[in-house]
Amino acid sequence: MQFEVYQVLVPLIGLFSIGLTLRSQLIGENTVFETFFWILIWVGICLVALFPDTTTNFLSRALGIKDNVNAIIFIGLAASFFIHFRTFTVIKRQNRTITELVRKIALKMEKDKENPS
Amino acid sequence: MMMENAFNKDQILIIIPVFNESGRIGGVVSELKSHGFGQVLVIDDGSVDNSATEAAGKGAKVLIHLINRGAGAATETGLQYFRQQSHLKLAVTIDGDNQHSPSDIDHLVRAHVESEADLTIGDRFMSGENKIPLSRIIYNRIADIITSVLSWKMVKDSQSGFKVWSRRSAELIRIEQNGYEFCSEVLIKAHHYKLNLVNVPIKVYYPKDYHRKGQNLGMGIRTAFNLLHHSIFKN
Repeated sequence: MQFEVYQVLVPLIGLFSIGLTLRSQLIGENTVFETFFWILIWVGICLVALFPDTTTNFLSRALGIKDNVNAIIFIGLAASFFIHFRTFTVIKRQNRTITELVRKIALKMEKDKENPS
Repeated sequence: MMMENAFNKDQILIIIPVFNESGRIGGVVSELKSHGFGQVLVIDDGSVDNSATEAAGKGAKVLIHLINRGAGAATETGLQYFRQQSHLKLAVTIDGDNQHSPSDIDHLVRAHVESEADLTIGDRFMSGENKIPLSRIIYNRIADIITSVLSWKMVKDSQSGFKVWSRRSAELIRIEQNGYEFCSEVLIKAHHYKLNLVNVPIKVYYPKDYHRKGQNLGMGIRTAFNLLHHSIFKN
C-alpha cells in the first residue's frame, strides 16, 4: 500500500489539533460537548485522508455525489477548520477577558468611591 | 401577601444598563425614586454622552464601563454588584430608555413574592393592550421559538429586559453573552437550573425613534446565530 504525502500530513495536523483540543479540555477552556465535536471532526478528516477511496466512495454513495473528493479539498478543509477553531478560541477568550476587566474596573471604581483610603 | 410586608423597597436593587441614554435616563431614575426605590444602580456601558452624569445627578449609583461591552455585559455587572450586597433581597432589571413603567415594578415584585418565583419576567404581550411595532412582534416571536428550542421549554417574551431576580437566580445564572442574546441565555440557563419562572403582564411604551436602539430583525439574525453558536460550542 503506497501512501501519498497528504496522507501523512493530514493525520499529523489532525493529531496535533486533537492534542490541542484535549489540552483545552484539561485546562477548562472547552466543554465536553465542544471537545467531542472537534475530536469527531478531526477523526473524520484523518479517516478520509488515510482511506480516501473507501471513505470517499462511501461518502459519494451516501450523498449522491458522483465525483470523489480530492486530497487538496480535504487538506483545505482541515486547514480552514484548524484556523477557524484557533481563531474562535482566541477571540472568545479575549472577549471574555476584556469584559471581565471592564467589569472589575467598574466595580473597583465604585468600591474606591465608597471607601476612599 | 403585600410587597411591603415581604420586602422593604430599600432591599430591592433596580439595575439599569444604559448606553447613550442622555435625556432619558434622568427621567427614569427620577421616576423610580418617586416610586420609593432608593437603590437604583445605573451601569453606563461606555456612553459617549452625559448618561452617567445625568443618572448620578438624579441620585442613582453609577458603575462605569470604560468601553462599550453590550447590554448583557452591563446587566451582568449590575448582577455582580447585587451578589456582593448581601442586604439586598431582590434585583430588578429594567431598560434605561423609558420604555418600561416603574409603576409596574410593584406588581411584578408582588407576583414574584406570591408565586415564590426565582425569576419573574415582565411580559409585553400578555395584556394585549401594548402598541408594539410589527417588526418587534415578528422579531420577538422568532426569538421565542429559538429560545424555546434551545431550552426545550416553551418560553414567552424571551427578549424582555424587565425581570425580577431572586438572590438564588442571580447566584446561579452568570451571563456570558455580551450582547442582546443574553435575554435568551438567561431563560435557557433558568430552565437548565429548573428555576421557577413566572410571566407577568407589563406596560411598554415605544417612542417614535424606538428603532434607534434595542433589537430589530437584522440584529435578531445576528443574535440567533450567536445563540446557536454558543449552544453548539458552549452549552
